Amino acid sequence: MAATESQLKALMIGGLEGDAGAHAELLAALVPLLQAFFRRRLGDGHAEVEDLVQETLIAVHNRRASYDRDRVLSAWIFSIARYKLVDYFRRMRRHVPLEGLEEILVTEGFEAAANARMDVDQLLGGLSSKQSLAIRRTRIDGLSSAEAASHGGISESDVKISVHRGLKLLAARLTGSAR
Amino acid sequence: MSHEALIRSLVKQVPPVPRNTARRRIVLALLGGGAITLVLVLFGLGVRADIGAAAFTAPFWYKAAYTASLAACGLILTLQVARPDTTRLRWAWLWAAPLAVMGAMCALELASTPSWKWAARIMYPPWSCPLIVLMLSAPVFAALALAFRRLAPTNLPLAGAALGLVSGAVAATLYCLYCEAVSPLYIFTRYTSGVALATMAGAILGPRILRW
Repeated sequence: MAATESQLKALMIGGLEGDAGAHAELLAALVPLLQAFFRRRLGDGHAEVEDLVQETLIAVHNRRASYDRDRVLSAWIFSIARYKLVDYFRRMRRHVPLEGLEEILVTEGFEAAANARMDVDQLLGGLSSKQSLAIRRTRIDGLSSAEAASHGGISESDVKISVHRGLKLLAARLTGSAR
Repeated sequence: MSHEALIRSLVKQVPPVPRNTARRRIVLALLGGGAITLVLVLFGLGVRADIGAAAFTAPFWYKAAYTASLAACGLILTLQVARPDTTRLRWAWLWAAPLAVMGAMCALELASTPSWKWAARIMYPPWSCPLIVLMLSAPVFAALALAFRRLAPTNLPLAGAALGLVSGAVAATLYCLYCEAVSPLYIFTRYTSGVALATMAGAILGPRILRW
């Protein structure tokens, strides 16, 4: 059964009030979500994924005081997961992948975002065709900005600006509606 | 260890976390660290001999107001960097306002001083004041670092800088009990330098001390 933001938030608040059972349920529900999160970013390094999942669970448990109940829970959870990932890359001295579309999708809904079954068309439909095309080409089709620029007959900086503005618009819409 | 086993061990201790816990931890750290700094000022430096008379003069109070407003700016930032999901830092440049006011007062002072005296006014008395403020900020910074063990800063140099700003400004405010300077130029250069030093030291220490 898909865990929704509101279900997990209810468990989180239960835990904040001292309910150990709710807290245990929350942590257990986070496991598959975190596994998907780290797998998508690390590939198939199996042991590292599970280590990071556990590090994140420990941090979620120990640093609960940093959660603001008026805010979206998923953003809090994944910001901790992302911090742990960046720290892992720092220890391994690897290049950190750029977040963008995924970060925004994450705040929209747990399960869908984690399994990348988000309706991308629906999201991008609200943008201008220039912006949605630029985002599709660079973030979904995996083209570089230069390739996307030559496909669209516009300059590379035009592509970058369109992507940036489009993502900002999406983020504003999603955080506005998620509150 | 399996995930289930980890979760079982974690949920053995699930203390309640009241709503304003983060804010409370930070404020208590400021009070506790500030108390230690106050003791250092009272017994290490000593309260200025003319405190009785000085407390009725304007410079005594606008010095404290200047540093206290910087501390307030630092506190606003500290509360934000404590959370991992802070995306945009609000009021990030608020500290420029007290600086601008103090800068204006300096300009007035310079305007009423012959220009050949300017260098002397700025360079003298000695510059030990900023270093003392930096040292006095250490207890407050340490207390805040302890408070942050239950919080989740994700940008460590920034978080360290915020902690440094508020620690330095609190230390500078308490330092006012000892320091007898009245010239805006002196206050602007020395006190601001002290707070700036503490902020930079915090930014450097952040990644080392606040990592989790």
